[in-house]
Amino acid sequence: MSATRQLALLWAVVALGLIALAPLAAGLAAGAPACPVRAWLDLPCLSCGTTRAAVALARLDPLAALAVNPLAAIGWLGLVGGGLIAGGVAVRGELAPLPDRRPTLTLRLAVAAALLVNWVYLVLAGT
Amino acid sequence: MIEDGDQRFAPPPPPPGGTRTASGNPWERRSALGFGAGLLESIKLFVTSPGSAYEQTLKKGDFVSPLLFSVIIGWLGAIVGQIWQFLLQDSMLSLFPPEMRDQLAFYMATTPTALAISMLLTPIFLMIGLFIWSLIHHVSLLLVGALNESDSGFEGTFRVNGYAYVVQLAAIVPFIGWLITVVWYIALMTIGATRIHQTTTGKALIAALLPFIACCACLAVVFMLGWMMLMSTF
Repeated sequence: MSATRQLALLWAVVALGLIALAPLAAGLAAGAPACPVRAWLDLPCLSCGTTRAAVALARLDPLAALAVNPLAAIGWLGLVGGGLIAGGVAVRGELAPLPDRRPTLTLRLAVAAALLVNWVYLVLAGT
Repeated sequence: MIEDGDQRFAPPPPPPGGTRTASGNPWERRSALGFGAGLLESIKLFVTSPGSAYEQTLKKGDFVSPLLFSVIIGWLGAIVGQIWQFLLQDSMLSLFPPEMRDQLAFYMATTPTALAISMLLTPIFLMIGLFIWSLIHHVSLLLVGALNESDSGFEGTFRVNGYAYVVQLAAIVPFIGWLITVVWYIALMTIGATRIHQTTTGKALIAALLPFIACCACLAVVFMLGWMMLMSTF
């Protein structure tokens, strides 16, 4: 089995595992400790709201998830949705190898910008 | 029986006149060495000489080996952790302030049923945890420019983290095992990234620390507490 197919199937298992845990999300998150960065600095950290976004998605409320932490919500959706699609494609047949491209400066800057913009949103929204 | 210096476990020699390419660590050569011998030799290598271990590790082509290695080691660590928790619960709780004890006692409550379910579900949690943490680590490596010379992409990061799960063996140390695990894990993330992604130690170290600085460590804590809470419900 090719590494690409292994990755696709692994991603699918992760997605299915997260879906299986979704009914328990609210209960699991209830015991989560407060963010230490917020407690010390009174500012949200980059991942503040990630758990609440996951809980909102588990309630099938994507708008609430996006409001809490847009990047985390997109990340969770991409992780689960992408996993299901990748798994489906892998089950149907052999996947083409992933392109062997190294990350460009543009991609790095785009990722950094996305994190920064999302953090500014978290600060302004008081997440 | 495995003996020190046994030539079976040494990496194959480099090709004449050429540079050595990774031929696989003992775990990745388990079809030739045997399952148990490959596992034990890899554990020994990653504990005593992680740089050499990651040098031998294949850069790409197989997600199964690091996944299987991490699940086996993580499972062993979880068993040891559960045993310590069961035996030393009162002593562990006494280390925390009184106001935290009730809540933590709830998380740490274990029953034989919970232990059995825990052992069955732990591999799934380990798999999800490894995948998500590898993604976070990969984004960190991307941000600091540690992937500029890499040929292995996300698979390389997955390998770094999968074999770094050997730190779960620190669970054998009661009370401070978690602290040893964190420090050791950061060290292995750094060493592994320098070897697998051909980057500098500085970039690899910053990339290893970045998730903790950016508070993704919060996610790990949430994941761990959630797991303990789930077990306490059975």
